[in-house]
Amino acid sequence: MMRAHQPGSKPIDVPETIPNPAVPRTVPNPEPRPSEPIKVPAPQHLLCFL
Amino acid sequence: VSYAYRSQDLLSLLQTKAPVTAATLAANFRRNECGLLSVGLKIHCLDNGEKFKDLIEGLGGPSRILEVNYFKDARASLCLVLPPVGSATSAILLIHCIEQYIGSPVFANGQIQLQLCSPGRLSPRASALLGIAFYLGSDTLRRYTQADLRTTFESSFNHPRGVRLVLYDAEGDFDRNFTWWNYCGGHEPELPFANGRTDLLIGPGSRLDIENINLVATLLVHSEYDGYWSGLGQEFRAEMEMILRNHILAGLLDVPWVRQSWAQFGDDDRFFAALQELVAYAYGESTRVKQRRLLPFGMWRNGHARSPNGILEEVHKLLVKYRKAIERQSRLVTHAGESP
Repeated sequence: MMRAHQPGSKPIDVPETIPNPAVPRTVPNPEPRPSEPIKVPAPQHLLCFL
Repeated sequence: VSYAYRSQDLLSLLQTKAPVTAATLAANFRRNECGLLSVGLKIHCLDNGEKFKDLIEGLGGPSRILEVNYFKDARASLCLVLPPVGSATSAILLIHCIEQYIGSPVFANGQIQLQLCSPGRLSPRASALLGIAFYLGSDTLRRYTQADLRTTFESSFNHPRGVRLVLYDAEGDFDRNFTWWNYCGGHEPELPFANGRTDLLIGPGSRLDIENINLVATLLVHSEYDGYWSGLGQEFRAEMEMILRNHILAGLLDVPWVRQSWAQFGDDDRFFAALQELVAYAYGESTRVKQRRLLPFGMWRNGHARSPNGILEEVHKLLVKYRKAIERQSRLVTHAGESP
């Protein structure tokens, strides 16, 4: 944040970044997961059939 | 772009933690989209870079991966150069894979400065248009200090790059094995230039930034190197210059946005003053838009003939228009190529 003012005027805060109002907001992406689970098929001999 | 590892090694490493995304990326790594340019990326890490430690070790260690590259943001602990990919989509996927691998965001991360590399050196005026279109079309308006734009090549003896948003390459390795759509719509297997890039230091970037820069760089490079999108590129330049004239900002195009070999003393400051003027204008527009939204609809319409969101909306609409034009026209080229 930067504070800017001229003598006699009220100081204003100028943020580092602001959203561009002309660009439609998109849904924020979820936080990246550290890893994706690797699907390993269960061994056939462990499958039980009822 | 200099990187001392094979792209296959990077993909294999990323697949260990992001198997689905990395597999999609591997299948489309060099695939061209709509005749747009290939995309290179550099990640400048402003904190201690601890999150990238495993990735760098996996690729061969810092001495092999980082220390061969002298170029980086002057404040950065490390600069990771990524292999160029065929499209903005693949570049975004590559960042997603890295985010999953390191378990931390890369996009919109204040500790990470992204550098986007486009093949082909643009003229000074086109470089100015690239920088301005990127800034006004981004989803985030940023303030800059000169420290944000300082690199280790600021005053390099052989390749001084100054303190600029737009940078030329330092004549290092160049991968030209990407599809180029020539003037007649033919798909050539390699780029028409053996060397040369125009890069942008975008700071904490977003997906939209990558897409926009790729679009604008393609239009400008094709307009200067006689590519398939040359006509659209000329139209884009004319429209962009008209927008700047209408907002009394045309003078921004006359300052040195990229450092040329004939640079003069004080050019860095001239550029930075122009950048600050652009930033102040954009911030002012943003404030006006917020105030307008508080007014009844009719009151605003009576007083303003131009787009109610001013230059920000005009540039946004311009980018959307040219993206759609390229998508529409590229389908015709692809279909024509498929017919016997």
